[in-house]
Amino acid sequence: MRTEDLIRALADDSASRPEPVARCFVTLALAGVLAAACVFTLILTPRPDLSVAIATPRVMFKLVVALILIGAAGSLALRAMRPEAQSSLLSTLVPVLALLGVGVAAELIGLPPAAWRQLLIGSNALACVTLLPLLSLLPLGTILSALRYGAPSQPRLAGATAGLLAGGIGAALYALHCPDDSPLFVAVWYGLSITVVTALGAALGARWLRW
Amino acid sequence: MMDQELEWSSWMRAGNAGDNAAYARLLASLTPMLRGLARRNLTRTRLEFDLEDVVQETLLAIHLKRHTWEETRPFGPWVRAIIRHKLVDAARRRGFRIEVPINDFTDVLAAPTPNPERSVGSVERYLDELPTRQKDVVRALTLDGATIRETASRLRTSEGNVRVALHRGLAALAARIRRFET
Repeated sequence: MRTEDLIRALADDSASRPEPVARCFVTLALAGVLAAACVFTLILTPRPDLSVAIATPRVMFKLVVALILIGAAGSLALRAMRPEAQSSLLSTLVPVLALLGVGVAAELIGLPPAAWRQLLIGSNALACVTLLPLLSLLPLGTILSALRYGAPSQPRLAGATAGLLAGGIGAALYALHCPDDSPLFVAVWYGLSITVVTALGAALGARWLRW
Repeated sequence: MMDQELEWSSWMRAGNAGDNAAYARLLASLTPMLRGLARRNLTRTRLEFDLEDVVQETLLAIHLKRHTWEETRPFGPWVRAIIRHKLVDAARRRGFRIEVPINDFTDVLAAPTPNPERSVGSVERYLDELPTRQKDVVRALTLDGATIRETASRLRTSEGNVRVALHRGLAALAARIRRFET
């Protein structure tokens, strides 16, 4: 086929005005949040003392860290839709890790070493590392779909960013159920769960986000 | 280069607003640069590349991802990013890893075009793998040089159906190309 023939057909294919990337991304991300919230109501319950606990500094800390992660990963994922955008995963992670580090340090300093082990083990670390990723799965799916509509220049990295965002959403939801409030617990077990979701996102991104 | 980019920007904007002729002009104007870049970056590999195949694959990608260009942003970096991505992808699918430097675009001389008299080319070959309706429509609009209206009457269907089949057919072509590895 001659190139000018192809160009003519491409010019003819202009009926549908494609949707702007930002709107597509936000719609699909919100759909993911909604889906995760539905899964939450189906398989989990909010912690019984939520209305009280949510005002305590440690629970607020959990939620704030999750929300900062969502904000940072979300804006990075949106940027990744454009092929010319430069992405730095590190710049997303640094504020989150710094905040987490401050929380952990405050915890370790404020409590005797004898108490650390119990805080770290918590009441149910196994539940955390299975349920948090589970909550993140549907958001991961919708966010990857959004990225497919875009043109990410680094598919694996874009997938990892999607995983971070989905993990953040899962973390925010799981925090409503989880009775373990220690920053130590959060850093290790939420951190591990989010890392798993991020790695899954990267693996899926490498295959699904090629264009 | 800046003037060229400004011209491309305005044609792209016009195309987004519905001016098909401007959009076609843009793609035709990009083509010599694409040929030059493909030649420069892929002949290094000393593998037999059908450069025109790569040019066509890149034009298809520019078309299918055109919604990722924000009109408030410069056109040059956007189109260069797409070209780089497709050149690397074309090489990878043929078994090579290449790197295309970001600054590779500054002094590409437009390749003196003779559009090579070609027999078939990979884009046309992949056409055969498409579902019948899409294959017929894309064939008619490219190889046969028909208009949408002519194609609609020839295939006894509506112009709307032709447009949908064209849209899907082009996306399916890109998907086939993506899957193919030598």
